[in-house]
Parts: sequence; C-alpha cells; structure tokens
Amino acid sequence: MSTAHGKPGADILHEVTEAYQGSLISQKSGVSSPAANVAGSVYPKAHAKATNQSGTINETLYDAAGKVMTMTPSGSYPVGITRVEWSVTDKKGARAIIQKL
Amino acid sequence: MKILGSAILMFVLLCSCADSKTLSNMPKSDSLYLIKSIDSVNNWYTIYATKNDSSYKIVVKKGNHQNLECKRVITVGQSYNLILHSRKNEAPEINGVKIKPVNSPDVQCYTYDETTNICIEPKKGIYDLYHTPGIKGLCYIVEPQKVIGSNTGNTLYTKKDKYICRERHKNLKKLADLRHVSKAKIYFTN
Repeated sequence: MSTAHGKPGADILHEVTEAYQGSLISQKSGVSSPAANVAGSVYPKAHAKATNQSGTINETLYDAAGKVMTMTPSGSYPVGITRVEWSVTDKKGARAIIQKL
Repeated sequence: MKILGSAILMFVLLCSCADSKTLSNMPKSDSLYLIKSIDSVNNWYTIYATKNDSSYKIVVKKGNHQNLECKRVITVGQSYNLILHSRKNEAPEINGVKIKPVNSPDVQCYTYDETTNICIEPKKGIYDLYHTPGIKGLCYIVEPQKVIGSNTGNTLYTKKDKYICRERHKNLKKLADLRHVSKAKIYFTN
C-alpha cells in the first residue's frame, strides 16, 4: 500500500504511532480500550493523532458474474456478494489490490 | 337512555384502548439528528448530520421523492428522529459468512456503485459512514404513528390499535350475550 502510493514505510509508521497514541489515551484515562471496531474504543482518536497513512483504502464488492455490486438504496450492503476486494489507487491512477476474499 | 348508555360505553372502550397503548409523540432526543448539509455524488446523497457534538455522514441513494408521496422532505437546519446503522459495525457477507478483516477499521472508502466511491472524512471528525431506513431519496419516512395522547381530536390510531379495539368490543358483546346482560353492566378489574 505504501509502495503503491510512493511512500514506502508510511503505513508501518502510521500503525506504530497509532498504537503509541492509543496507549497514551488509555494510560491517561486508566481504562483499557476495546478493539478498534467496538463502541468506546480509543481507535478514532488514536488514528487521528497518528502520522498519516500513505493514502486511502477502498472496499469493493463483486457478484458471481464478477460485476461491481451496488449498495442497496438505503446504503446497506447488498445480498449476493461473492468477492470483496480492498484496493488503493497509485499516483498513476492504477488500482492495486492489497487484499481479496 | 339506551343510546346514551351505548355512547358512554364506546367512550370508555376508546379511552381504555387509548390508555393501554398511549405513547408520547415527542421525538426521542437520543435519536434526534440535526441536518447540517446535503451533498451529492453521482446517484447518491451524502447527508451531514450532528448529534451531541458528533458528526455523521449518511449515504442514501437518490430517488424521486415525489414518487414516494413524500410528506416530509429532509431540510437543512431541521432535526429528525433517525436510526443510523454504522458501516464500520457491519460487514459484507459471502454465503452467510461475515467478512471482516482485522484491518477493516482502516478502510476509508466504499464503492457504492460502479462509478461511485464514498469516503469517511477524518478531518471533519467523520470516522464512519451511516445508512438509515428513515430516509428514502430525500424523503423522511415517518414511522407508523401509535396512539398519541388521550382521546382527543389529535388522537391517531394505527390499524393494529383499531383491530384491538374492535376485537375487544366484539368479545364484550359475546360475554354480554352469554350472561344475558347489557354490555354496560360488565366491568373489568385489573
């Protein structure tokens, strides 16, 4: 991801500083934080205080025919997903997949 | 006299039905969101709202709200009772299995359709995207009204409420017929 964005090392630095900032927040409050995706987590604050990530990660859903799926009109996940890809776009506009399930 | 008796009975029945299901129509402040701005990206509206100093970005597909017989169009500066669902708290499902990698909190953008990616905005304090069943297009979908207030001109009854009252009335009549007494002479105790 860092390489795709032309910033090698930027994302590992982000993760290290994010963990450090999270520990400072919990140390100050005296309360351990739950996981990042759990309510009450210090993650949003720690993430904001850490060094910047190299760029953005995008999540895309595909159906059985390999077509990009559309979210439902209310904005929720659709039914019939067969593949999920997480990708970044490099400086030249090319899409680089960093994870696929 | 009989007519007067029936009228009193009906009044008592309506009141008892209303009392048993009376709910306040005051919006719950914990689900009241103030609309700050409305933007759009291709076929999607992004609605920015606040509640208790927190910011929320709600994504809804554009639609012709006139087709929905829209009674209330979402307006900037107004507050609405909404139930928001967090994108980060949900996960796409493949064959019933939720796909949520450990690094999912780092995802910033989501593909909403072939040409549209919508992102969180950490610089604005928005760390998540939300969706809600309470908005279609820009139309605010008012939840079905329950019985509101007492038996006044402002009282609204849902179909279910009317059904309960009708059934109660029928049962009362059956009981009166069974006991060979007037309906007005049947009293219930709690």
